[in-house]
Amino acid sequence: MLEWTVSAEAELERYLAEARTAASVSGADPEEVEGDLRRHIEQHLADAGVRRATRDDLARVLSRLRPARPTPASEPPEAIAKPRRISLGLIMAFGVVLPVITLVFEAFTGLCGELFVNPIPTLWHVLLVATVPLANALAWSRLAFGRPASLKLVGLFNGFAIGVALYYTFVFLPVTPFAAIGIIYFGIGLLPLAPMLSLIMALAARRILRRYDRPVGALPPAGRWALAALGTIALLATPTIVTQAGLQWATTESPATRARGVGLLRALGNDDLLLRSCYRRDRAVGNMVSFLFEGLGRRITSEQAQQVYYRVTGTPYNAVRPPELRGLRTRALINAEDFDWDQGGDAVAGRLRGLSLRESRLDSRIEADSGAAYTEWILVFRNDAERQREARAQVALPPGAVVSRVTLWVDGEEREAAYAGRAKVKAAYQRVVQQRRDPVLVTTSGPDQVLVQCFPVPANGGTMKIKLGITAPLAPESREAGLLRLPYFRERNFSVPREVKHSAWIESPQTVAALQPEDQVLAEHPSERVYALRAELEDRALSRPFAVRVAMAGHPAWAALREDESRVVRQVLDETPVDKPGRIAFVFDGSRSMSSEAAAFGEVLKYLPAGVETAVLLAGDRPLTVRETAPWAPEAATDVVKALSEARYRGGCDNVSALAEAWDLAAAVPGGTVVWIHGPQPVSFEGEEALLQRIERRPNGPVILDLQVGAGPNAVAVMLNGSPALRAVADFGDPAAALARILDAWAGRKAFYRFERTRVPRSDIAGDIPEGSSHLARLWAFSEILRLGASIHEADKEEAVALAVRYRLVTPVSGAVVLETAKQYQESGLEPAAGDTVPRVVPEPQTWMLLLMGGGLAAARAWKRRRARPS
Amino acid sequence: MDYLENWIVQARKGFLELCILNALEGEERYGYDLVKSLVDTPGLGLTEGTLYPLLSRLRLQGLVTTRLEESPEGPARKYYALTARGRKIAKQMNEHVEQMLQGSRGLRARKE
Repeated sequence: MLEWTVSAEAELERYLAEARTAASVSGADPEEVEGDLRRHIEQHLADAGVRRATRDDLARVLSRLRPARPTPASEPPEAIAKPRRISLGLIMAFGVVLPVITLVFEAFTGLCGELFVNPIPTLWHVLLVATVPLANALAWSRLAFGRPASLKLVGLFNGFAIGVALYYTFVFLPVTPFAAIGIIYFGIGLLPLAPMLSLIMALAARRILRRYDRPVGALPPAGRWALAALGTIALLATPTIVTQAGLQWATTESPATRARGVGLLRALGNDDLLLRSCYRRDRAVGNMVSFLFEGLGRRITSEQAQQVYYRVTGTPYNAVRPPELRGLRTRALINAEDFDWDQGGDAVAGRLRGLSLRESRLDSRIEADSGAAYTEWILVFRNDAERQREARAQVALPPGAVVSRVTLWVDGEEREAAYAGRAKVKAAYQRVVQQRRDPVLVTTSGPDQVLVQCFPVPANGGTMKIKLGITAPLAPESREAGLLRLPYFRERNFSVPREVKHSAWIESPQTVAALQPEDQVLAEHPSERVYALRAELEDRALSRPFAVRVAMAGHPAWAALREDESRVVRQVLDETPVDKPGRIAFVFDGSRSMSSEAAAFGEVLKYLPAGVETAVLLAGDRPLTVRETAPWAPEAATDVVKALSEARYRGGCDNVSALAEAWDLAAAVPGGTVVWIHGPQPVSFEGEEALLQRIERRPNGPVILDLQVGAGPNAVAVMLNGSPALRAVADFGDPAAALARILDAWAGRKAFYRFERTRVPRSDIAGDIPEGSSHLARLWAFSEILRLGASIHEADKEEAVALAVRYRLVTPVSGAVVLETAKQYQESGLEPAAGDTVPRVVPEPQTWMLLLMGGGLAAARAWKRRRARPS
Repeated sequence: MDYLENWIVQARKGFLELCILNALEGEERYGYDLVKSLVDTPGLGLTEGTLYPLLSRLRLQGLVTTRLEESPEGPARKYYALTARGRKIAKQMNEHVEQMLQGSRGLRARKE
């Protein structure tokens, strides 16, 4: 391999540059001629046995290629072809070592991102910055040893590095004076100066290369490559610029601009960057573009970003894995960024690192005589993070169910909840959360839905165990069979690892079968009067949801009331036909989650009773009328299905505006009904107050039947919590079938069975009606509370709270809170439920059994006394 | 430059290309070898560097083709060969030169 001295190679480059110029003038291919001449020269030198070519060697060859030229007197002799050692030392120290240390330090600690702005938000930025020390190292090596890279390559890298260093010098300009002061007075602060110093070194290296490594013309111009570097930086910033601009537009006051912003983000936005703006911890480490936007534009809150994220993607931000933090930060730094900003609030919010469900056990006992069921759900949370966590979840209850027991394990013992008005239990919970003690709070958050909050799940592997007791009515399919759905998570801030299964046990005195076939469901018949299902369900299977069909007795039943000796609750199975609505306004969610579902629901519309006035709206970015209000004809279903199939389902859409429009249509005639079929609604949209006003001011206005497809939050249900205007459609795992059941009932094609519970004098109960369990009384109390709670009279509301406290129920007017100590209960003015008054999953003793036991005890005591009496 | 030198430069310009084509007639040759043999040709008065732009132009005009081949003894060798068109043009050029020379000789003979 032929080697060249620095000056010889410089001479060669100069000759070849001249030859290129001459070749291009003559019409030849300059590149080709250069290559030919280079090969020719190398062949000459090889033939002459030259291994290291000096200028003299080259001069001999060139004399054959062209007439010899005298060496200019000003050219440096071979002996001084190397630059001074001090110059090389400075280039190595400040142009190579310092930027490498700075880059590694920032990648590992993220300190600059924490304090100022993140200079390396992506791996591409890391590579870009790395070109600066690389270019300086190449230049240093070239100047020191004349190798390995050619002058052309060194010049190219040098120009690129000048561009990169120039950009970062500009970015760090605001902190440069502070860094300089730090060095002068404290001897620290060199790292912020790394861009500026490496820029100076790159420029110096270029100057020395020109001086010592001639010819000047062979060094590629710096400007072109510096511009290329700045262009690359701009290219890397483009997704951020588009996303930030889109975010600014999507959060303005003007609806048209908002729509434009959402459209831009859907088309060109970066989902990862958008997701980062939903998390406060990621906002703290924004890159240069975000920094400029936040400085020059409006500051966008995490909540605004979360709404935009849903509108753009159609997915709740907390349904996807939180973005990874770039850079190899320390664990403590990640933990510090993981603060739960929503702790103690009403929102479930994003998933928390380290918090998971470790155990889940569901025990259901069906009371076939009462047409009711009681389910206890034991949940064990574990927290592997370094700070205490609050576990939060929206739990979907079985249709018509009510939470009747809340228990927390403290030091291995069960502590029962106290029940009181919502405001009172919330205040008690928040007070105790601030003290970092052990409370659990359960409140309703919509029809058939509760919010569960547990704090603290201790840090570093600590666990917390709670139990929810749920009283539910069976949904009668006929006089002989009813359905029961298990509770499931609609939204949660903890993960459910794949290996964690929901261990379910459902037992009934009569036959029971799973509604949807599940591989892990086993039927058991442990004793003559017990039929059971045992299942190990994945979270996805539970939230599909999971339901069972049970044989039941459709005969009347009764149950004693609490603190009311004279009256009882009487339950009968009613099958009187339901009235069809005067007008039906359907609202289909136009969000992406419904893209494969909406048309299937359109098919179900063929079951609508003919002649009923029907309108169909699609809640897109703006409400869209699919069908104007007109009497329904079965053939209209085809047009509706076609329109729903052809509609574009993009992102997450505002359903509130369409609901308000549908409500107006339904309210125009007596008995109007809105049927709302939708995917998850994770964010609140503007216009909620307008809808709320309509519902509050017209208590007897249209009912909104709420049918949600797929697990996920429902912000509209939370907003309308406790309002009788919003009713959840009972879904047992097939939403389309649930809608078909309602339409069949309206059309009078199928009988519609439902339990009616009324309070009657005890004397009305004939001896042959079997007594139901206390759950019948709880279910009656729950419906009575809903009725009283919806009243506009304060006295009714107070009575509703009193009834909820008496029956220990979590309702729209009441909540349950478990505190750690008796003192905390006293301070909050609360009284926990006594252990012997809470429902249990083991069968409750019937009255006759209690009398029998009481009589037996009395007889035993009398016999004992008689024996003790001296004869 | 005196008159003769100037005339030789002018005459050599077109003639050089013909010499290259003639040198490649019937055999493929690599650049270094080709240049050496042309430089040694009496009367052409070439320097080695002059030939490569000419070879490049001939390739661009489709009269010669090239290929590179690694060499164990030094840099890679670039081989040149005539194309069909190159052969045809070379033949026509040779005939034309012959005609010109005959014509020129004929003019001299008539006077003598």
